[in-house]
Amino acid sequence: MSRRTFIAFVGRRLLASVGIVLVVSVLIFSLIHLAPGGAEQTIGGRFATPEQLASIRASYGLDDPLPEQYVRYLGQVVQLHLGNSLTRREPVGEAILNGLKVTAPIVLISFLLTSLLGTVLGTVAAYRRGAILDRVIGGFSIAGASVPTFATATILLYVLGVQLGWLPTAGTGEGFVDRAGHLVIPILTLAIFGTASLMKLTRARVLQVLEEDHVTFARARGLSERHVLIRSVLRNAGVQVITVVGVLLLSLVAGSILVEVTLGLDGVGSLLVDALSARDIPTVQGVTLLITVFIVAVNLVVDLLYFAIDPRLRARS
Amino acid sequence: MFTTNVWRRFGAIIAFAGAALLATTTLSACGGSSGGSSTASVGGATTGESSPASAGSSSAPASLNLVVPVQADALDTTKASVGALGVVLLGLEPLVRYNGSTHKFTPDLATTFKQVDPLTYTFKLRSGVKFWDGSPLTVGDVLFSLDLHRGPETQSLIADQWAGVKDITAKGDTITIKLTEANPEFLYSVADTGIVSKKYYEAHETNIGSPGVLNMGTGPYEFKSFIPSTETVLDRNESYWGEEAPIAELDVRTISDDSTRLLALSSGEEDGIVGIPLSQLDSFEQISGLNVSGVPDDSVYKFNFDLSKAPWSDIHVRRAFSEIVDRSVIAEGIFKGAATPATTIVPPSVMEALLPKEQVEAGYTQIEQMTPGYDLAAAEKEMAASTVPGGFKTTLLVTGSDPNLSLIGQTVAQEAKKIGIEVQIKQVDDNTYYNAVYFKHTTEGLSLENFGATNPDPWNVIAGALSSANALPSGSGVNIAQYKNAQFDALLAESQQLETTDPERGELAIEALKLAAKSVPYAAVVYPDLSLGLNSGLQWGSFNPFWWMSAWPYEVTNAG
Repeated sequence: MSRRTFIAFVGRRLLASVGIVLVVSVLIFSLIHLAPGGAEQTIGGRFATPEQLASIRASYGLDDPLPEQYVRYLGQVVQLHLGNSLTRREPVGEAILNGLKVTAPIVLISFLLTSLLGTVLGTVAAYRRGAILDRVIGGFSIAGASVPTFATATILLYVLGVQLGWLPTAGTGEGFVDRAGHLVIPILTLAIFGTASLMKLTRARVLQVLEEDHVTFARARGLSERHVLIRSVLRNAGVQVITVVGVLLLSLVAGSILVEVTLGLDGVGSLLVDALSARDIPTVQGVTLLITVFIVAVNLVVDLLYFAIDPRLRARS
Repeated sequence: MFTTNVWRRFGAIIAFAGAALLATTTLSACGGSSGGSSTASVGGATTGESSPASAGSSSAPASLNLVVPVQADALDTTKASVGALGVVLLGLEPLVRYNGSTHKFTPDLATTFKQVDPLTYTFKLRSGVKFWDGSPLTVGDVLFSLDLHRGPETQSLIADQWAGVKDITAKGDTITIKLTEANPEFLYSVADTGIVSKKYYEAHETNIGSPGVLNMGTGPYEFKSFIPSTETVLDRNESYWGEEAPIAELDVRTISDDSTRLLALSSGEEDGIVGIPLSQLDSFEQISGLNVSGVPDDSVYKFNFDLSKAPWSDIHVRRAFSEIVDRSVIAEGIFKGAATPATTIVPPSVMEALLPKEQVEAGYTQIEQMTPGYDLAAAEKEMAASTVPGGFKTTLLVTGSDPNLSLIGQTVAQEAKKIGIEVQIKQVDDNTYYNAVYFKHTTEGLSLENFGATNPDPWNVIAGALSSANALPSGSGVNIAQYKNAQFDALLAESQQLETTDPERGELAIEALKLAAKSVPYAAVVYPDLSLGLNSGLQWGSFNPFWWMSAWPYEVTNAG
């Protein structure tokens, strides 16, 4: 594929991504305004009089027509300003950045662990098909993928925090070492879930590839097993695995929301849940915008990786 | 809503599994004994008259990690009310403090205070007090702090408490507050309102109270770090004007997940918990080294009937519904004894702030005789005499944040079937509940909630839930029943002319409750306890439902 074709491809995808982000932002904006209750009720409290509620609505422009409010919001976003939280008295951007200090390490480290362990264990299970190791790995993958993340988090908390007393049970901690200790359980929780899912898929795909003619031919040619594994098996299995890895990253983000709420961590997930229950519109919009952009970006990167890993796709383009 | 229910069920399963695991190990650790439950030391130390707090003679722990039910979204007096003030008022002190165990107000930033007449209060500001940054506390700071809750532009959560203030003036170091109409509850509002540094507040007006800015006060504890609605760390103010705070560092945490909260206490990482969810009381009592105790809370679980909506506008229907509520079964079965069957919307223990116990008991006996209690046969007769003798279908709205509500609803729904009422329970989030029940009154006329007082005055709940002024369209909507009775309003008005602690206010309150009992605007179910779990090495001098209004760390000491 020529550089020009590649740039055109990326350009088209970027344009489509902007469209997707806009559509999703309109949907979220509409849905949060349709939900019963309003931010003014959270701000004023349950003893607020109708006059006080009206005053609060007016001060935040909540009585303006929805399209007007949306355009105002878009104008802010273009200037990279996500507004101020209606309940927490801080800029939404600042709240998100603080939340990312917790969420980003959880998601990224669990993603790295998942990618590494899921691929390695899945491949090992495929190579040891039917052996005890395969069955052990299979059992783990079924259990890890089936148990909800909040249940895994609770069990880990009970074993590692209460019974063994190795890790703290609540909060996010202060300073690098303290925080690292607090994040072990959420990272493990997501890594178990992710590894189990990826391992299952990798095993299935590697088994398929191992039975294909080109692998048999490579072995017949006397190529080393290492060469066969890297050049023939993993490279062929990789396209599908990368697709799943992209989806997996997104499911880890979703899983982190539940894990953060369960373990009481002040990450982006908890921020979103709190904002939703308080009808804190700017915060909900800010966080969901971030998540939407992230999802679109991950999909774009996955598409580009196809090209890098699969010469057939390059040739077709 | 479906999702909420599913997650809640999953959560309940996990909580149950966690509790079972915990119980198993705890029992084995105890050698098969009946568990580690015992009674914590509650009661004893009293608060002095001339200082916001006085420590007991016992030594205090160096630090305290405490779990509380709720915290503010921002460390600001306009963003905190009731329980959330438990942290805020430690840093941002009020002019006067209320002590829930002695039922008395004590000077804090004001050295003296006086109710000059029913409409006028004066406060003499303490001299020599400094904010944490070393700047002096001035009358200007006080006026600024109080004005934050007043006027049409205010977004304060406690604006309703300051709405009746006509003006606030100062002459020298004396601050005078004039009310538009008499309000004996006003001093509680002063005790709920922290004083901030005007200079600091104005310099950070848009983000005051946020994690990066915190706030500036004079209190015995200084804010060190803050995670909105989750965690506040406070350090002792070493240059505090009053008695030095006994505990050097406080870490106050709110954990929303039931299982995580239970495990945090089990691990010993947390030293105590205020407000154990009553549905989890058994599990907490199994934790080794944690003493669990309870005091009657100033709240009531009650069914709300909207009198403006059929069929609830029919007194026979309301009486019938009240007669199918088996309060004793609910108190024992759902609350495992950590609640008392309710007669009316105010617990008798609260009324004892104004009247001697014997007089309260006599009054409540009369109210009980007038209130339709559990009696299926009587309920059937009421239904037969009603406008809907054949029965009807209705939806009961509850919030999902308190699992007891659904359980009460299910228990009563089974009884309701027997008299032809089909009750469908609809569980929603808090915001949806308050929107439908308080602000818009869009329910079918039936809802169930745990309604708590915002101050210790017995009239607080009575006036809130029953006065015409709190009914829609002009009021706040807290009068969910839309009960409007001129005779009741006259009793309230008479009570407003009296001093805060005048016993006659108690007598009038009982008269008002008797009057309301005739109309059955609410069906009180139970008065729940407020539970405290504390590390067995600690004791809380005088734990009471209004702990959050006091300088409570002075009450927590090492046991023995």
